[in-house]
Amino acid sequence: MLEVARRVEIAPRVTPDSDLGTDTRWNKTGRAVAKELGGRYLLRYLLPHQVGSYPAGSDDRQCVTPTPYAPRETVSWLALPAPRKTRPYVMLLDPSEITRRVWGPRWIRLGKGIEYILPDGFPRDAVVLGWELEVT
Amino acid sequence: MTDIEVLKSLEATTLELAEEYGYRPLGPFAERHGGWEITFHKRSEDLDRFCIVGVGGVQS
Repeated sequence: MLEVARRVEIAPRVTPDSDLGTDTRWNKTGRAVAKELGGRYLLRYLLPHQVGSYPAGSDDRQCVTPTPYAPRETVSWLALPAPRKTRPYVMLLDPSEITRRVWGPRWIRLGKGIEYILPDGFPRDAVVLGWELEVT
Repeated sequence: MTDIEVLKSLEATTLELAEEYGYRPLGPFAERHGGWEITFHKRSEDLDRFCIVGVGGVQS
């Protein structure tokens, strides 16, 4: 969809983070990502014990995806470890409010989806609603 | 040791082992949707070979 409709180049699975950060095709502003996603949000899935960890934002590196998944789909589509632990919560992030660097998209290694990297995290203002959502 | 200290120790060990076998890290050992991961890559014999160390259930 992104590749065809919006002509967004998706980085190969073998692309290191460092190359995403130095290549103008994949080192973007939050506003540029918002535009290429057509207003869609970025999703950051969570385990139950992580709920409450990020409503104020984070300065840590974060991995996010624009694709919504059911909890049971998260493990295979995102190729996550601990496969019996589905991710039942999600934070919605508005990329237009991310005033830090955004890298990607990149195909997920061994998975079937794509991801963006937020190397410097995200600000509080990017958190849509201000809290996590339970995915059913 | 805290969980983070254990993970940092594991990162150092895996980096050393990966280098020995000719793999390079594609990113840091970092949290991703509830798990901790580091991925290594080596291109050989026209194949992309990946080695992923993943840890789940860590309180971070």
